[in-house]
Amino acid sequence: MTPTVSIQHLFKSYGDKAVLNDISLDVFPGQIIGYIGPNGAGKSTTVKILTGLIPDFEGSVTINGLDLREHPLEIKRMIGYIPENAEIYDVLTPMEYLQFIGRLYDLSADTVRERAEQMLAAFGLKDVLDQRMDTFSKGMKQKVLITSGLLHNPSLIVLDEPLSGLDANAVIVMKEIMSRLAREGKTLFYCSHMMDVVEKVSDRIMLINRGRIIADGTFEELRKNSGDSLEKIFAQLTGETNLEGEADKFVNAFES
Amino acid sequence: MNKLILRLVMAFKGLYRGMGVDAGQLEAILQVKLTMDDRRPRNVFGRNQPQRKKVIRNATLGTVITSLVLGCVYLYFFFLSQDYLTAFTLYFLMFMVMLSITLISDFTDVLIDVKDNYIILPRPVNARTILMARLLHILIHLCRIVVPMMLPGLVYVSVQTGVPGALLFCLDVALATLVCIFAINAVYLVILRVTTVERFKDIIGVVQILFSILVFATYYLGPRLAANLVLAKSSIIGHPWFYPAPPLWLAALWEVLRHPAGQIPLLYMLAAAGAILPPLCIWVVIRFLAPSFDRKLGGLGSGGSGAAPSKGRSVRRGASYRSVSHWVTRGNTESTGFDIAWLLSGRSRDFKLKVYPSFAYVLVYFFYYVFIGKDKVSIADKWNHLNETHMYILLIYFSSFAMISAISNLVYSDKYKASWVYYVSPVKVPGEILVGAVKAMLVKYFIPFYAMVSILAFYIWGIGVLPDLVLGLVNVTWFGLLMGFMRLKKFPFSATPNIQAGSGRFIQGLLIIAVPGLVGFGHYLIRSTLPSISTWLIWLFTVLSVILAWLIYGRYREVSWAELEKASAEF
Repeated sequence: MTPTVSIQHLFKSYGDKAVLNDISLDVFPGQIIGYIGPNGAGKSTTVKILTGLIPDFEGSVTINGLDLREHPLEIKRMIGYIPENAEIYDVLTPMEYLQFIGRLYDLSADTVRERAEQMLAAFGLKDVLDQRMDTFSKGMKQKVLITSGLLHNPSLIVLDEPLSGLDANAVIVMKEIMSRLAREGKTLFYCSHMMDVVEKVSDRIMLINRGRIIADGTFEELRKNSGDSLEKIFAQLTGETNLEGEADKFVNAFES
Repeated sequence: MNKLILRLVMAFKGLYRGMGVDAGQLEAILQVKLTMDDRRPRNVFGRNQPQRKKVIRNATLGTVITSLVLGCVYLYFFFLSQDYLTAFTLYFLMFMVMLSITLISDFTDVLIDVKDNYIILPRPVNARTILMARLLHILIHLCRIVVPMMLPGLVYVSVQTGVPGALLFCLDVALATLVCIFAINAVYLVILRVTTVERFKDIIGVVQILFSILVFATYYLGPRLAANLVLAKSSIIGHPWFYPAPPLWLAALWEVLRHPAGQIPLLYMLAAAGAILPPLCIWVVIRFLAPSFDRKLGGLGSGGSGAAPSKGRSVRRGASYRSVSHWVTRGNTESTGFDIAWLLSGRSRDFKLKVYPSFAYVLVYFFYYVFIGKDKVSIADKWNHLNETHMYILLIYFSSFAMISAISNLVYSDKYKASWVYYVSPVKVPGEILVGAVKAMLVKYFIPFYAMVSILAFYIWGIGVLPDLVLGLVNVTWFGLLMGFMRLKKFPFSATPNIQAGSGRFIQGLLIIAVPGLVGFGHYLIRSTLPSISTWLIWLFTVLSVILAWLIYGRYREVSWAELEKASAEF
């Protein structure tokens, strides 16, 4: 089986600061990858390379058998990207925005309308389809953003903190959507800091730190080696074993 | 200066304490507010200059200096008319219009600072302290504009009429300020009652657009028109349609109090209105408007995001621009560019603020050049002889500046980060999006405007200028495309307004401006030196221009990702 994503010896540096240091990984259809790591570990950089936002890097990246450097447009067509803290043209209505995005992917206006209506209705936004988004809450905008990333039925979906701002019900819906999409054979690349969600959603977890993959396996596999919750595994593998001590220091500031 | 103001205000600590205000907190709030005022770009006057990279440090000083300069400009009316009543009326007219419009846009920042609700309200600060801080802040803000604005007038009046006249002048200024506050309050309340906060800001945006046009027009045309009025040697009192205007009341008040005896009855009545109505206005504000104002403002923060969608703006679907886009664009990518430029340009406040006035400027410039010259010829005479000139060429090529302004502002947006979507989506030739966007500017703004200009031209010069107008349209089209090709290798609404253009860009920009000038001059030469064959030449050049436009268009449409990247590296 060809892997959906195959990254071989990926290096990336800004100036003399190495951000990614020899990353290699293969991801197969139907997998949900939990991609985790401390702040500044290189998660976003990996994601940006995958989605074609950063074109210059060392190493090779192939997606569905196509080389990222040689077929950037075909690959972009296969990827759905839901970025973190994404900006959106909020003077537009959701429908106008989605029509705009849809046309960038060559979808017909009718297809976009049908899909958008159905998808946004599932998120409870049916009534505001034609209202400008500048009055929307963060969660509502996030729902539109998620829809915009999935609209063209991508086979690889890259999600960066997709649940931020969503209410509890929408979180349940979103988790269910993710596992359904995986069952249909799509590949999900899920970046997050919310360990409890990653633990439940992903069927394979990759932990990166300082530009290297330091753990790769199912949650059960990781658990065998280290602690019992993903939070603890995370702390141990990233070398931060004395977090209580840090908290002590913070609180002790009152005493001096 | 802030320290001085703060010390001055805080001199009354005891008084504040007596009113139940926490003086320490008051000082802290005021200090922060004044500091923020200093760092805020001035939205009315500072807008047209490109923003500097330098952090804004002394915005307040800028406001003071601007007000001072405006105050000097108003002095013009005293030189224009020896009749104090007329001079004062015109003076206060300008004074009040400027003050109102300055305040109305400043108040959105000063009064409706929704952040207060998140930052100050959760802290242990009592209501009186907040109220006092707000009042004092408004007062300081007001003084920073009013005092420098009245200063030149005050000096002039006291030199001319001595201390009593100067004191009366101060009284008039105070009353005028009250009327302005009343007007602004009323406007705000009406707007807030009928609309939502977001739209409110849009309306303020419209006010700002009108304001910049007004300032521009006054600057260029005002003196000429006023001179024309005075040429007719009429006093203001001979114009009955001026009677309901507060500036005349204030002028009458000054006149009557200065020379109490022997005035005509009408003047006494107007003076009485001037003395009584402003205090009455402010009483209405305090008694009726302010309480509901505060309630509305209180509601702004809480209702700002969550509850609003039920009242949000609905937008008609399947709008007409779609069919236009099908007509004028080739292919999906191009029409996407067209649509997004069409939609966002109509809704982006920044774009409207920068571009809409430039269309009005074209007409202002045109009339300025038409009416400029020796004062002996009256405006009416100039107008009557206009059809014997070739001024329409000026009109045609001035209008290209509006097009250039629309295209060069097309890339800027506060929401420039939202353009990430272009980079993750499979766009093969970005030039198609760019061409689509330029077409949108042409169809949405320029062609309707040009149609208006054409009607004006036909009205003045008759149908004979048709070939010139056609040539002009084709020329402006290729100016726009050339401008786009040279400077707009960026997606629509994808750049921050704060970037500074390099010097090479600046020279390129000058060249772009020079092109319409040169072409226009050539057009003028043909018309003025070769009258016998000029119409044939004009048609010939039209054909050549069409070919040129077509070539630039084809090239612009092919702009590749690599070129885009190269251009953004130079940016």
